[in-house]
Amino acid sequence: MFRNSLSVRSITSINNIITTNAYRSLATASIQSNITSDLTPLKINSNGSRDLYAIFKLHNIPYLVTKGDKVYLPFKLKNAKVGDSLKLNNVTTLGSPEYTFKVDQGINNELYELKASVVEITKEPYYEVYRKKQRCRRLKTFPVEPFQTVLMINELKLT
Amino acid sequence: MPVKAIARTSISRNGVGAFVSPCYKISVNYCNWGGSSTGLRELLNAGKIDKIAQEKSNIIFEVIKRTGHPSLKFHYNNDVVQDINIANLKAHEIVNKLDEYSQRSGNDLFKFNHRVLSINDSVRGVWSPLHTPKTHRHKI
Repeated sequence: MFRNSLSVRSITSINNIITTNAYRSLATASIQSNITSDLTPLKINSNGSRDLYAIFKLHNIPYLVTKGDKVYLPFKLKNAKVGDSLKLNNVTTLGSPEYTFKVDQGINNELYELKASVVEITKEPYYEVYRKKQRCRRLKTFPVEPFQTVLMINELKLT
Repeated sequence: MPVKAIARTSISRNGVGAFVSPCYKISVNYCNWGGSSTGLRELLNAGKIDKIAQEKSNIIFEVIKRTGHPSLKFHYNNDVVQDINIANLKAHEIVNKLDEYSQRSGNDLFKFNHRVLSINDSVRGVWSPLHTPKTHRHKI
C-alpha cells in the first residue's frame, strides 16, 4: 500500500494534496463542492474512526492517541477525579493512513470529538534521590513519589 | 469463494464505554481504646466518614471495631486487598489516604517512560521499503 504522510497547514490546501494522490475521483468531488473545511476524504479514509489518530496538547506537550489508548500523565491533573470525563479541545493534528490535517494553532473544535475519562490517579514507585553538598560529609536523602494520572481515550471521531 | 469476515474478540477496556470504579469496598478498622486511633475516632465522631461514604457512592464502606492499630483495607476489582496502617495519623492525613487509595486501580505501581500506552494497531503502519511504488523507493 502506498502510504504517504503529508502535513497540511490549512483546510483549503487539503484539496491540493488530494489531487497529487491516487484518489483523483475523490478530489474532483471535493473541489466541485468547494467547501473550505471539508474533511470528507479524511473521514472516508479513517475507516469509521478505526484508522484515525489525533495529536492533542496538554500543557503544550503533544500526545498522539487513537481510541482506547491510555495516556499516562506524570502529574496530578488539577480538579480532576477518577471517573470524570474530559473534553480535550486542543488538538493540532488529525490523521489517517493517507491524510493528515494539521493546524498548529489548534483545529476548530466543531470538526472533531475527542473525549477522555480519568481512569486512575496513582503514584509512581517510591525512590530516593541523594544530594551531596560541598564540605559536608553527609548525603541528603529526598524521598520521591510523584503523582500519575491515567486517562483513557473515550471517543475520537470526526463530526 | 465467499468473503470471510476476520473474527475479532472485543477487548474490555474500563473507561472506554462505561467506567467502573476499581475500588469497590473500603473497610475501616478502629480501636475504641488505643491511642493510635484517636485520629480515626475523631473522624467517626464528627460523622466525616459518613460524608465521605456519601460522596463516594459507588464504594461500600465497612466500619469495624477491633483491638490493635487502626487500618484501612481497600478492596479492588482485581482481587487485590491493600491494607494501609493509619496508626497515629491525624484526621486530615487519614482523609488524604482515603482519597488517594480509593482512586487507584489496585495494580502495582510502575513508572511508565512513554506518554501513551496503546494496544491498537498502528494507524500509520510500519514503514517498509518494499511496499512503496518503484518510483518512490529510496535509492542508495
